[in-house]
Amino acid sequence: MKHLLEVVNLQTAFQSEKSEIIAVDEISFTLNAGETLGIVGESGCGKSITSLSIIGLLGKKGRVKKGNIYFDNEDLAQTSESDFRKIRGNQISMIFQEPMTSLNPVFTIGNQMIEGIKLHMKLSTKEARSYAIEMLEKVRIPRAEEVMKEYPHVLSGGMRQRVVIAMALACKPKLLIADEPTTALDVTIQAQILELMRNLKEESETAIMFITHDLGVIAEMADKVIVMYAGQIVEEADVFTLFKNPKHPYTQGLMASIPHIEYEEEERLSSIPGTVPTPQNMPKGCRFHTRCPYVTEQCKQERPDLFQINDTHKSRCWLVKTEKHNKE
Amino acid sequence: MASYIMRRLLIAIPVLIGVTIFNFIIINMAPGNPVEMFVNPDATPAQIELEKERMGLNDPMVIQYFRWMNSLLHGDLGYSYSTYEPVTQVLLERMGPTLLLMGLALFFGLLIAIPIGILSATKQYSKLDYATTGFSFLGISIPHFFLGLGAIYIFSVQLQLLPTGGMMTLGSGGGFVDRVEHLILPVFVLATGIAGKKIRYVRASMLDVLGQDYLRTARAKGLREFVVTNKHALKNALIPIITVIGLEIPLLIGGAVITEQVFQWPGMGLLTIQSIMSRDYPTLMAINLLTAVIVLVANFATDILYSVADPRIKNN
Repeated sequence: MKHLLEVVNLQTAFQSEKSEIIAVDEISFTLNAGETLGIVGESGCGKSITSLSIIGLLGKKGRVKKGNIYFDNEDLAQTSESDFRKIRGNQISMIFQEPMTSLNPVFTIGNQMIEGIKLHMKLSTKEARSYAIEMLEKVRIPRAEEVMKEYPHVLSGGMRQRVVIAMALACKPKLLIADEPTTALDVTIQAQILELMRNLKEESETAIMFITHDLGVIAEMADKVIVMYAGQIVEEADVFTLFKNPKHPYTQGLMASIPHIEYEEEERLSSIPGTVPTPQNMPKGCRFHTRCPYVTEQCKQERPDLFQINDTHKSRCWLVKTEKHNKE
Repeated sequence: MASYIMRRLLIAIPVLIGVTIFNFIIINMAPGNPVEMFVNPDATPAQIELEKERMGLNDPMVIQYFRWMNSLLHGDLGYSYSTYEPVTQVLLERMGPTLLLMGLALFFGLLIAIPIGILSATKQYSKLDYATTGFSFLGISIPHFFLGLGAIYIFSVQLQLLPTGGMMTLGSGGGFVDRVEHLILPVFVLATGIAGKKIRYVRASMLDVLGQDYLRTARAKGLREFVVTNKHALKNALIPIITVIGLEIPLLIGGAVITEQVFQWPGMGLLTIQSIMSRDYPTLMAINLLTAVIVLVANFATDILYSVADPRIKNN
């Protein structure tokens, strides 16, 4: 089967005052229709940059420097801006982190809903309106018809995120990128939104890229997971393997730093020492070696590739390579 | 809303009374008196004294103030000391030309400032941005009298393209083209100043908005950058600009003292200067009162407009 999305060796760079900064590098993964891909990592690891590269919203200073992004057999890395606009919001859409600020405060919900619907579905204003109401009902917004006339500030954060989801799903996208859609919401609302997204996904064949730093959310939502560190993929696996058998020391560190309610009270929650290196002074060798408990001389000198452990599991770690080598 | 309007109107009354008192005191404290300005140079001190007595200028200031206030409340602004016409009529004659001049200046100023401000913000730190920033500082810093005299020198004296001043060619009856020709230079001078100031505001306000999350949402819908900028960003950016434009409204009536003087434009600004020169107290008082009223009304209108433009304010 042909993949819906195939990212090959993506490298995204940003132009700063003097030099060019490589924000993400060597990103490759695939995503099929109906699948949910979780992308985890700390702030600044390149999760959002990866997704913005795919939807082509890097802004003036950012650009895809290398690699290909095949979406429906079209390379988005080569697509012109005007062709991209036909895909964006139509076949690929995106939900952002901050529901409080991601709607325009001076336009009504209706106005903002209808805008995209009219643009991509070529409906009349009246048809677009009733379709927008239908979409709002689908994301379980009560009094959808009145909400159309409301301005964003009268809605709660959870309701606004529902509106954003309704907007993103209106044109029945093949790919939905959700960039920390529940991070800014409180836990009960978070659960409702996740539930909603799961249901909507089951109804359609939409593939979802779910970006988060919350492993709990990943466990609930994702089919397969990519762990990112310092602009690279460090581990890739299906969700069960990743939680049961994390191979990369970074993933293991992340897992260990999840608080468990059944733990002894005195036990300190473990954390990964040190901080993420900045793109300007990336360490030589493995990018994680400065913080890794298993660091070897090889890690400090040579850059590891993403080694294949089995069909679905990959890890960017020398240990994995050695382990596999020893077995053979 | 109705109670809010009522409250604003009630607050306006003591403010206006305060303004008239202050103005009256300041005007009366100025040296010289109107009689000296218009009597025959040969008049004896006794004759001057007699005239002052007749005009009530020797009465205590408080009495004079209440006399003025009394007639004001009867809708009478008195007679001009210099032209002997009713002040109301003098003001009405001057208001039209000022409204025309200032209205056009504000219109063209904004017509230049808004698109350039937007462009300057969307292309921040580009050559265009530096150029417009340079122009806007120039527009703010060049004094109107200098720019006005410079424009007269180049376009009227050297090139002989445009008239040096006035509203129309005397004795010509003032056809449309003639009036437009007379408007060009003063409007240019005033609009340059207004545009200079406003470009800064539009640019800053637009830059504030351009980084907002909702613009990314708009782009993610697949909207064209033109729509993102001129619909989603601009409407937000214009809200604070309403206040700044509101501050210019009093000028529409109050006029531009210096520019009107330079171009001999028969408006309120020129009238103000003339009234000061001739110690024309009734006219001066009327101008001050009118300006105060306009300032209050403009501020009020700005607040109302603000709540229309920004839906977040309406409900509070």
